[in-house]
Amino acid sequence: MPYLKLQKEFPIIKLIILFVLKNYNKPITNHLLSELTLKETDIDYFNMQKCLYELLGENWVRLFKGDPNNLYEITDEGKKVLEYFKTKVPFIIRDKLFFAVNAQLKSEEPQSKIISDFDVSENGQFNVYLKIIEKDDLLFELNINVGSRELALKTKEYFENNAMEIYLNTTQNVMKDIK
Amino acid sequence: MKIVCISVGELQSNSYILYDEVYKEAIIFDCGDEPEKISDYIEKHNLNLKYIILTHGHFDHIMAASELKLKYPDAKLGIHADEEKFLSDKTLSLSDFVPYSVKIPAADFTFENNDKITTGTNTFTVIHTPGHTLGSCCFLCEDILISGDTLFKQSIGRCDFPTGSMPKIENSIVNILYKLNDNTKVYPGHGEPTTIGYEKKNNCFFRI
Ligand SMILES: [Zn+2]
Ligand SMILES: [Zn+2]
Repeated sequence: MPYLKLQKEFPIIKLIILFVLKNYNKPITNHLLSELTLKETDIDYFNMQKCLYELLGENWVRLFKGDPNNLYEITDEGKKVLEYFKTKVPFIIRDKLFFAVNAQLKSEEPQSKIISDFDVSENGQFNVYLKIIEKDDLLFELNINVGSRELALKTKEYFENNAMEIYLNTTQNVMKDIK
Repeated sequence: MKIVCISVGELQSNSYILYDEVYKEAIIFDCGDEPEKISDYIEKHNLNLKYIILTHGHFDHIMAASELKLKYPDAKLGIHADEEKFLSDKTLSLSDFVPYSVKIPAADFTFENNDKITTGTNTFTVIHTPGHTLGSCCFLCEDILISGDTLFKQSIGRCDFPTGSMPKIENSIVNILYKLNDNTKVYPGHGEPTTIGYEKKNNCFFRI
């Protein structure tokens, strides 16, 4: 195994950084990466920055220009290294980081989400649906059956582009006669 | 009895397959992720899966249950009666924390403290150990204890999630698990195995 020779001197801080990057699963600023990593561990800030710098040199993390801040991301090679050494991060740390990262991701989710997709029913019809979800609650749902995949795709696209209008028109129509 | 540990998922949750080599009847404790890793072992060793038992209802212990149930429809899925609602409540199971959709089947049966679960020649006794969650359980068969997220090597499960309680986990560990024989081998939900005797002396939270 190519990583075997690294096993002894491979610092756990690097694995912790890789673990945060992998679970965040999208580019991240140095500020947020440091916040997530340091909040749940007793790692020293300067030590963490040194390890991050070394990870860049090892090509296990990549840095690219963002606006306004540069962004870090784990590379495929970095994921392999993490997979190989994954049992080296104690569960208690992994657990805390996992929840911290996922809580952060949840807080970044948009307040309302539009989902449109279709599935094929047993009679060969295509059921196209539109869902609008606000915080975790279903706000609106519309299902239409169409006869072909092509129509299903077009309807799905129409739903995606006009979701809020469909929602507002429908609710207005329904509510106007309800006193 | 043969005991095999398969660590799965992002949190490296331990899934244990236990079986007797005569009848080849198997029982699984927890199945947090990567169902194919678990079913590969079952297929390779020609095992007849009788039970999928959940030590508690957190996502990292239950996520592979629906795929395993599809593959082994005769295997019965069991969880403690106080924990059953975790299977349909994303807040309780912490599934709303994870970035992927989690499908969990309903339990086939629930158990209570002291109930027995038998496969082949092995009988497991349910030990209700609330604390990590309300319906957390351990399972004892001779000198083998499956401890879920209640007792780890030199550590204990977190109590800051819904239904968790520090006084309850203390009672479960000190007054129930530490009363077992010192030689009892402990197989936890995460990390390496340990023994009751070792934990009584070396656990970072409760030593007696
Ligand atoms: Zn747990
Ligand atoms: Zn766990």
